[in-house]
Amino acid sequence: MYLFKYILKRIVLMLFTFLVIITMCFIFIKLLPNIPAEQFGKDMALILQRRELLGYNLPIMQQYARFWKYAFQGYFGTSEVLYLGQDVWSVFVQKLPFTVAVNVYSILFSIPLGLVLGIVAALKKNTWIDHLISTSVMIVVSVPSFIYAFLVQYILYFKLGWSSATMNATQGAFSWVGFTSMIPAVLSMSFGTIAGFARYTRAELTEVLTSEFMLLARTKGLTKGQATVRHAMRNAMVPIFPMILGEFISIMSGSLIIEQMFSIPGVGKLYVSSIQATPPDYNFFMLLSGFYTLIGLVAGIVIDISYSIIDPRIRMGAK
Amino acid sequence: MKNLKKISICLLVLSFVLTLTGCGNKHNKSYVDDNAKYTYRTATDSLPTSWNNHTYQSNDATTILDYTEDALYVFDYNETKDGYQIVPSMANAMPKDVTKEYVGKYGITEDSEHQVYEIELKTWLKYDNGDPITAEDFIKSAQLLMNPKAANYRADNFYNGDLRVYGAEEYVKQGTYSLSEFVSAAFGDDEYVDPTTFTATEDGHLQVNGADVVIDLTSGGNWGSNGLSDYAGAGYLDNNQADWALLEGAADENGQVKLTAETLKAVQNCIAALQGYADVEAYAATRGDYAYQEFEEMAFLGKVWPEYSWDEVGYFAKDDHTLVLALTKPLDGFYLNYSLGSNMNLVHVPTYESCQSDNGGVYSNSYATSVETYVGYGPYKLTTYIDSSEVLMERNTYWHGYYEEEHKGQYQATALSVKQVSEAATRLEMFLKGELDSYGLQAKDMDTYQGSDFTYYTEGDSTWFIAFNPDEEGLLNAEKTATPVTAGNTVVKRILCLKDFRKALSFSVDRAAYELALDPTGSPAKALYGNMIISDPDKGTAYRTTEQAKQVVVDFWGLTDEIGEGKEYATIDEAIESITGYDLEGAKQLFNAAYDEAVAAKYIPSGDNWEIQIIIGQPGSGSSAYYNNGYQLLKKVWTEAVEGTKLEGHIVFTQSQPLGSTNFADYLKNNTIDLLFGVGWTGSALNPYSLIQAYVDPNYQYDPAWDTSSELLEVTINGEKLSAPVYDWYLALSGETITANVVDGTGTKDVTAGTTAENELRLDILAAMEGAVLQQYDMIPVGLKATASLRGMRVKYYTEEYVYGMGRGGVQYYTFAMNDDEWSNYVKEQGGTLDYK
Repeated sequence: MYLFKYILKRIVLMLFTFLVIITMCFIFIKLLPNIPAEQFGKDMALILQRRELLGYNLPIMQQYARFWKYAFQGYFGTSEVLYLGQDVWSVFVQKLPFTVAVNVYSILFSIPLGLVLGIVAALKKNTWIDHLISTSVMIVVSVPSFIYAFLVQYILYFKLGWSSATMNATQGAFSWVGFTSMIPAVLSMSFGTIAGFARYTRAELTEVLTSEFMLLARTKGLTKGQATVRHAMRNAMVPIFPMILGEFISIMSGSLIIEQMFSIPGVGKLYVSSIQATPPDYNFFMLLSGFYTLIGLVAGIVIDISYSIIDPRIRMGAK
Repeated sequence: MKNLKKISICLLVLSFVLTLTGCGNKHNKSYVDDNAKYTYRTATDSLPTSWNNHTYQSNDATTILDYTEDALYVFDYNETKDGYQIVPSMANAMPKDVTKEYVGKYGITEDSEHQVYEIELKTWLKYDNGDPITAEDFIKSAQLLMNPKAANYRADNFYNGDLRVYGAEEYVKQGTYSLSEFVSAAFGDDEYVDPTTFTATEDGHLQVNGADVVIDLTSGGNWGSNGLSDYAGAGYLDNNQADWALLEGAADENGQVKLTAETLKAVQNCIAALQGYADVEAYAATRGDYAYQEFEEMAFLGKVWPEYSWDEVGYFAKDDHTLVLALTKPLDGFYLNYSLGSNMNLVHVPTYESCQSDNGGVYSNSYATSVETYVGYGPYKLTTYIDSSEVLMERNTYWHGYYEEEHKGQYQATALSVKQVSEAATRLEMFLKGELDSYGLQAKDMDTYQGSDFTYYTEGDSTWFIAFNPDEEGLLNAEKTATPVTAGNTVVKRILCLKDFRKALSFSVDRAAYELALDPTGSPAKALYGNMIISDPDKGTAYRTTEQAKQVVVDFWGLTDEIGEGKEYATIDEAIESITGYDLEGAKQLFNAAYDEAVAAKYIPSGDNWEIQIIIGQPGSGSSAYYNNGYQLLKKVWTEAVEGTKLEGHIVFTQSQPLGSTNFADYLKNNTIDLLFGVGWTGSALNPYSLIQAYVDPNYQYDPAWDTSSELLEVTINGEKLSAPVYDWYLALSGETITANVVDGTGTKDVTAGTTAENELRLDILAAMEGAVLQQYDMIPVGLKATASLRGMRVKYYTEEYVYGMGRGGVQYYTFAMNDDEWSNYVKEQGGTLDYK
């Protein structure tokens, strides 16, 4: 009951927060200067005529009311700059699978590997294995992902000829061809995640392994393996599991650089482009702002609730 | 003998049959050979998201449109393959002048010439889905293009260039309110606007002939570069708060005020204030009635365009295969054919209509955004389109050209593949592995490939400039608000008003070094227009090769008196060749002279605590290597150039934040920044007479402070010197009749030099205007844009030299040494990587 009330309260708060954020986004983007540049040889009256038709000259609050009117009908408008004449939702949905695919493959590859490396490093603490893993992790964490992307592309494609330079999207995001051609991108995206999980797991597990209850478990007769798996791992996972969950939730947000480098037709560049466009692509901006804000807010609730699932001692909403 | 007779009869019958068959199948027989696959593969950093020829705004769209659509008339090589000609493509013949047949219609009179044309279409035109193309498709497409509810970006194709179709503008704008012309147009030439003749509507709005009298607060019109809002923002109307508040309150969202008696008075007061008077009455005490009339320089006529029927538009189908175009302005010769060198925005009407939508009164159209929403009619058909990834176009078997003998042997490429690859390094890797057939070289590649046999250089039609806006008032205001780099210093900016200072900055830049550092494929610029600008398109004559254009260059660089026998340069070409634009000693002298002048003008204060602060603008939406490196280079060059002069240690440079990709010039125009580099105007390579507008029209000028409507320019025409304002000369080039004063005598002469005028006359005016612009030293030419690319080993270009309009043959003429399979094997044999060094 406590949990139910807690979730309900969080949902109400979430909706309120969502409304505030969306309102601010709408007003701020509309407040940005939007003066059409003089174009040589163009009839500016025609450009002003189009802007009039689009309602750019209406008072902002009137435009805001119109936005919600259509949003409630599930219509977020058509793109006026980035994807001229196309329904913004359709474009987004069409591009989303590619982003999801590269993220899912990357997560499926990197999280287990990151965890394993972290566990090995923790269990072999202060041995050459730990030093090797920790040093590698530090190097990987320090280098920006586009550097790996270039290296991976250069080695796998140019030097070895084992992969294509860019993604082959002709058969869809989840096709075999799509998967194989995405491998360099997946690898490039994975390094950072692997390093992050390895480092975090090592730190958490090392701390747990030196706890007094681990000593107690061993004195009660559990083997090192049993104590590690049954007690240490479970406790160490309390902060790690929400991280994993966070990774899965973020699969819908694209990586601008990786998608661009490997020609993955995902959503990575959309958000930034919608703001950078001249004039801003208002409908895209609002759709993406709403979508990602909602994802973020829902993720916050889900992660909070997940704590109580991992560790029943944590009671969300309890007084 | 009998046998011979039989054979003769057989041959006769056979030839008769063959002739008949040949006639019937003249355009049914394809000349293409599809037995082998030849895929021409390229990569670009950005693929189009829409290629609707009614709306596209980015050149990316041409990645598809250039191959999937066709035109009435197209460029082709001339017979000697060293130039171009315009030939019919979708049209069956060149346009036929039928003006006399339409006297009494479309504003055509007995005296009209070159205003109505018939264009005969080929009868075997088809869309790529097999649907026939008729004249009615063209007309319906134009009607959809000009749909007033859509306000399509390219709707002005029919009324805003040389080709002005009767009624097109009226049809597009019907029902909308817009400002058409200056209010003075409603009064006679040489007459001032008389506000007492204005009528007032019931709600008090002043009108002339039924049109509103409107002030645009954001535009100075003919009055000056800045609108009243700029002056208000700069504090010049602080003493007229009430007047300004009244105008601001009456303005609509576009800053336009429909004048009433009250707001007219407010405008007059504001202008009086800007002239240094308390109000318009005080101003009138000095200037008389003009004080009340001066507002005409910034007042427009505003009207709601009345309803207009499509039937009245001068564009219709005479029959299934004949288009008729009635123009409001005569057009003939090259410019007519060139203007018709388009597809007249032809679309596949059923598909187009199925893509229309109207949500809440907002018209949208998703035509040409996917394979399903698009039907083309060019040599290739779009078969695969994956946004941000890949485009594949395969031969369109319905294209008329494949059934015409003149195209035999052309279009060897069976398919065209274009991939989006954002990183140039990746594109180079793909090229070296044989996956691409061309690669656009980057600055960093030049060391490796500049000497390669596969490298081709192509000069563009753009000139890059360093641009200033030496507006004294604006700079004074900028000085007041600037923060000195060194605390306690007085900021000096008005020195930029001095031509000697700008000249010194120009002479300090070693253009060859500048180009090498920033744009290694480019070359130094010596004048406004580069070598690819063509002044006589009929003959293909490059402007820079004409005597008039050469004279402008030597005049500008001060070499006129050094040419001739026994002088430093034997010929004018030699003199031009010697120009580097770099004269450090001369620059230092000019810096000193500018200092003296600035001190005299009190731009520079006494003492040593002052700094000339120059903010260098950075166009673009993000950090750019070109602008960052350029900033560092110019800063270094100019800091070193003032060493040993009176300005040493007193000049500081800062770089602005990115100013966006479209409105960056506005920051210079309002003196937020002091200088832009790497900017200029592009396009109109075949019409420099039109492009000159960009340099003399305050709507486009980087330096709108230069008042071209009052500055006089002398032009020698047929040995007679005539004088008229610079802007008027542009109007003459655009076909208007202007009145010029005879310089060495009395009286005036009417001059018109539109597209139908003698080319020499146009050239004389253009060259004089180019000289006038250069002499301002507010647009300093620095570099000529050029590109370099690597040609793939298996591709053979048609001509080694670049020919305007044809390039080196393009897909139409390219041939392949190997088909796709052979090429793949060849690359493997080479170890998977090719050597292009």
